[in-house]
This record gives sequence, structure tokens and C-alpha cells, in this order.
Amino acid sequence: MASSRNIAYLMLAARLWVGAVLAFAGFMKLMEPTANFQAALEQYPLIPSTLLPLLARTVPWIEWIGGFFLILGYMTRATAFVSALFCLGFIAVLSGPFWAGSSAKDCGCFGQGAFALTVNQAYILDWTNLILCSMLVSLKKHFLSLDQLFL
Amino acid sequence: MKKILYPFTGILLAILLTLPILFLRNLPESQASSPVPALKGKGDPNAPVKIVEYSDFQCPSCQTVEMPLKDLMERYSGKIYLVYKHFPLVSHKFSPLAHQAAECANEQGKFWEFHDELYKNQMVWSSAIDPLRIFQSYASGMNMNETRFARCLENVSVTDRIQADKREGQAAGVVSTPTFFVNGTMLVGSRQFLESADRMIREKLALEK
Repeated sequence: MASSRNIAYLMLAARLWVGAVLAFAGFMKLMEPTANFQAALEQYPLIPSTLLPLLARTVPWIEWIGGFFLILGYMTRATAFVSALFCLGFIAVLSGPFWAGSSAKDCGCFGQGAFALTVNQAYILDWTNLILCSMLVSLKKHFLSLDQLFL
Repeated sequence: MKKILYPFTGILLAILLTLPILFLRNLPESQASSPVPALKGKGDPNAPVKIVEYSDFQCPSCQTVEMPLKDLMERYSGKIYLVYKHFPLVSHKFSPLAHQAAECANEQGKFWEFHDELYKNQMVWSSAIDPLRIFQSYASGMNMNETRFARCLENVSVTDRIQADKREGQAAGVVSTPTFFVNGTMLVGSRQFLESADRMIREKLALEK
């Protein structure tokens, strides 16, 4: 009983962490011109150039709204699944520069603001979030969530 | 009933999350929470002496005053806070581009390095056919993100920021460069600055003691 409660608390912390990271990343990018994020994406050769404008416009919004959905626990499993796909995408995009030993000081994940992560730091963060999202997807009930309230 | 409300909750949440973003994005630049440092400042912001410099990167007089200004900053280390303001003059052909490039360097935290480079090599880029390449080489030499730098050079909101600096100067009475405000007192031109700034700083610091 005690261990299941501990797991519930741990998963709540995981949900809040992933949600906060996503929402913050989305917010920072939404506060800047779309061109800034597009320029950040251009440094990753894996992303086809035709997709750049679309990604620059949509990704920050999905991060922002998805992040809050996770924090509030709304459609938690579906949102965690989408977030996991995002993390996979980010990992795929960052893998090249990471293994090539990129010296880039800013991955562009949080806009051009004062808060910047290197490619290596972002790579580790995305792996962490991917694991946490996978755990959230696997869980049917989520403690202190809107899902719990409605379903 | 709860199950019926569930999808509506999602729609409501999405709307509630979208509205503040749209609101913040439509705020005038000065009110929006901008992650880009608005001030190009050097030194301690709480220093007793505040110098505001309105300058043009292509103006020779502005270049002349740079070394003495640096000396002042070193001599009164910790006592002066210097703020740089763009004041590109229409008569200088490459000035708007130089200021745009410097502001783009500012976005990547390299304003002062770029500023120094521009003044140090003023003769080189001022007489060049295509100074853009020179600015790009400076950016690359400072390990800036070149793609972002290139994109920023075309960003109209950056140009607006430069013009906002200039308008602010004009409102304060600036008509030529360099013009300084030492704790609010206007000093026009390099000569007046060199003659008066040191004395004004000493007087201010003597009063502080």
C-alpha cells in the first residue's frame, strides 16, 4: 500500500517535471519571433528544410499546451505519448551533433533567452524525459489529475 | 455527465492557454517579457556614475573617443555604469547594417566584443564593397551561431529596437554623435566629453565620500 502510494507520488513528480520543462520550452519560444526558432532548427541537418517553417510554428504551441495538459493531468497518457514522440524526435535530431562532439553552446530548445542548454545537456534531458514519459504512458491512473476527476 | 464535460474541459484549457500567449505576443516590445537584454550595459548597474553613450559605428569621432572611454572605465572601475545606445546617422552608408549586426551580436551575448571589433576595424569595413561578409566573419570568429546571426540581420524587429534607441536619443536632444549623458548631463562630441567627463566623475565621486 505504502509502496503504491510512493509510486503515485513519484509519477506525479515525473509528470510535473516533464510538463514544466515542455511548457517552459514552449513559452520561451512563443515569446520570440518564429524566425528565431526556425534559425535554431536549421543547425540540425536531419530536419528537412521544407518542414522547418511548419515545425517552427507548431512545435512551441504543442510544447506549451501539452506541457500544461501534463501538469494538470488532462489526457495524461495520450499527452505523455505525444511528448515521448517529441522526445524521440529531439533525440534523433540531436544525436548527430551529440556524437560528433558538437561545441554549440545553445541547442535552441529554450529560445534565444538567457537560459540555454548545450547539445549534450539537451540530449541527456531528452533521454530522461523520454523515460519518464514512457513510464507515464504505462500508468493507467494518475494521482492528482483532471483525468482522475473526470474518468 | 462528467464524461461529457471531459472534452469541453480540454477545449477550454487550450483556449485559456492560448489567450495569454497571444496577448503577450501582441504587447509592445517594451512591455513584453523579452529574453533579449534590452540594455547594452557595462559595469556595475548600481555604480554612482551612469554614462549613456549615443554613438554611430561608422562615425570617426565615435571611434576616437572609444580608447579614452575605456581608460575611464578602467580608472574608475566599479564606479561607472556605461550604457550604449544606437544612433545610426543617415549620412553613413553602412551604419544601419553595422548597428543591426551589433544588435544581433547582442542577442547572442557578444555585443561588446562586436562593438570593439567594429570600432577597431572601422576603416576596413567602412571602405569595403560588401561589409556584410566582414560582419559575418567577425560573428564567426566570435563563435556565434552563424545561421541565427544571418537571419537576425534581416529581422525587422531588431531594426525597430535600433530605431527606438535613436528616437529616445532624439527626444533627449541628441542630434550628433557621439553624445554622452554623464549622470544626466549632456556632453556633445568627443572633445567636450574628453574635457569634461573626467572632472564630472571626480566631482561626483568626491561628493559620494
